[in-house]
Amino acid sequence: MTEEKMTPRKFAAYFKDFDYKFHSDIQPPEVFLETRAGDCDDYSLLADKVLRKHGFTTKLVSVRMPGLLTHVVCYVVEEKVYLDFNNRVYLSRTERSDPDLRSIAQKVARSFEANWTSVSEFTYRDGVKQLVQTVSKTDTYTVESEDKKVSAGKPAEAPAKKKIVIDF
Amino acid sequence: MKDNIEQRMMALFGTVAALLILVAAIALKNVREAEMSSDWVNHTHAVILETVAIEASLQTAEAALRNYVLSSDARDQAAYREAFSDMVEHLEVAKAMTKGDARQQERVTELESLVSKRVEFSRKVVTALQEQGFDAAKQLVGSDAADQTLGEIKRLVNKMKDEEAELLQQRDREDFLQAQSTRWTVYVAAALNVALIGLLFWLIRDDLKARRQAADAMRMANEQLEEKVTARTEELIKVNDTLVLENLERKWSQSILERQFRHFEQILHSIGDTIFVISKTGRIIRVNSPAVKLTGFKVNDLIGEPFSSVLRTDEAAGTDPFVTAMKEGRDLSGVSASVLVREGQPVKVMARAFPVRDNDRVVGSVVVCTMT
Repeated sequence: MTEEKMTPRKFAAYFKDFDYKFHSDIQPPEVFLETRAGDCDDYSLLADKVLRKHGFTTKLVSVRMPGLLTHVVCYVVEEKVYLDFNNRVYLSRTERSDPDLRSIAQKVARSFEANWTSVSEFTYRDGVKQLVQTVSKTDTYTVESEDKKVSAGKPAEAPAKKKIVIDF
Repeated sequence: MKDNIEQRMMALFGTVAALLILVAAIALKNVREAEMSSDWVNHTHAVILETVAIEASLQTAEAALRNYVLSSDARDQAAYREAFSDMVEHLEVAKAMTKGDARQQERVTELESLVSKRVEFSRKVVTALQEQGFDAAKQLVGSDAADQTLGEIKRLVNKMKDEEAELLQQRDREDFLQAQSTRWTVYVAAALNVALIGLLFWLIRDDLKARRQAADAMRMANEQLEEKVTARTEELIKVNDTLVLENLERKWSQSILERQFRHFEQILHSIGDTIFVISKTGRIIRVNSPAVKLTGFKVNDLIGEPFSSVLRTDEAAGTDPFVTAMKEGRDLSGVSASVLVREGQPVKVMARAFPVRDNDRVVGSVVVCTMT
């Protein structure tokens, strides 16, 4: 973790012996590292923090799949790969992907052998998650074949509104 | 016929192949559409879940906030912050997922506004707690009892759920019809292919049968031809044997005739008297050696000449007793005549003539001359 030349691969290799343990809330990094157990949130948030410190441009991506299944990965822009806690045990611990959210969601969902419904890029500061951008899988369908699909009305341009910020 | 069957088979194979390609294309299109339908169904479920989660996480957050007001415990603060954060996330996701639907967008916007009010109120409570203490915060929380915002949020969430439930029903029906259409496409195409392949099988079998019949007819014709060739060859062999035999017999006959002719010639030439054989027209047709010797002419010079030009009688000119006797079919003897000699004077001879008969018909005469 304190290596001078940290890379996504080196970072991922550090977690090869970690156990998977689901927590509904996000664990503090020190707890995650000490217990050597956690889930995708813990791993991705730590990756985001560490790799950012080493000069990488990262983004946290949350992929939602049917049945309230949500998976979080950390995308590293320079390397065009994402780090996924589920890949820690494999030889190839990083997964190549285009940087757009759709491509990342497609790959992540495929690893679960599932479809995806929406994907968001988010930030996590002071225990608060803030969405930057959200994409729905069906967005392209409404553009491609709007007339074919059931839609209650024409797409509406939502007025630009100040986002709700939880800072208290 | 062969070309015709080949063309038909090629056309059928082409049709089967085209049908397979068409079915594959339709199946791929249907799979894509089925994926889209499935995505829409998943999308609707997700919107419902996100909408319900907005209300649930808001209630969790407000409960945690109230706990925090009571306890001022950092864990309660973390809990309400996380719950509010979750609520905002669900709201953002619901907003993003309904951006293609104007009515739902309207409701989400309204919901966002109401939620924003609740967040602002919570912010005020926390600020009051941190700046003015527990009582101020408690008073603020107590004043919230009459607020209808939560009821409005609940009503909006239910409306959104109802709308999505209706959409879900329609999308599920589309999904079902899509699957049914795919199923029918596959059934019809499979039935058509089976029918075409059956027709193809029938054509091939029919063609093979026709080919077998043609081969049998050809074999029979060959056998008949071979039989005819064998019979004809045997006939030819027999005819050839007969011809060989006839040829041999003809050679033998020729040989006999030649021998007889030579024998006759020898007899003719061995006679000491001069002999002339004349034709019915009075021309010399044969002479013997004494005649050649007497006249001094060659045989070829004498043959064909009028007998009267070689042997002249003392009779008046224009009459030839030998010809007259021959025509009358009687012998003639004691005729005094002169034989023309090539070099020298004619030689006096005593001539006799004997008619030659062939089946009682006079065909010539033999004249015998004796020198006097």
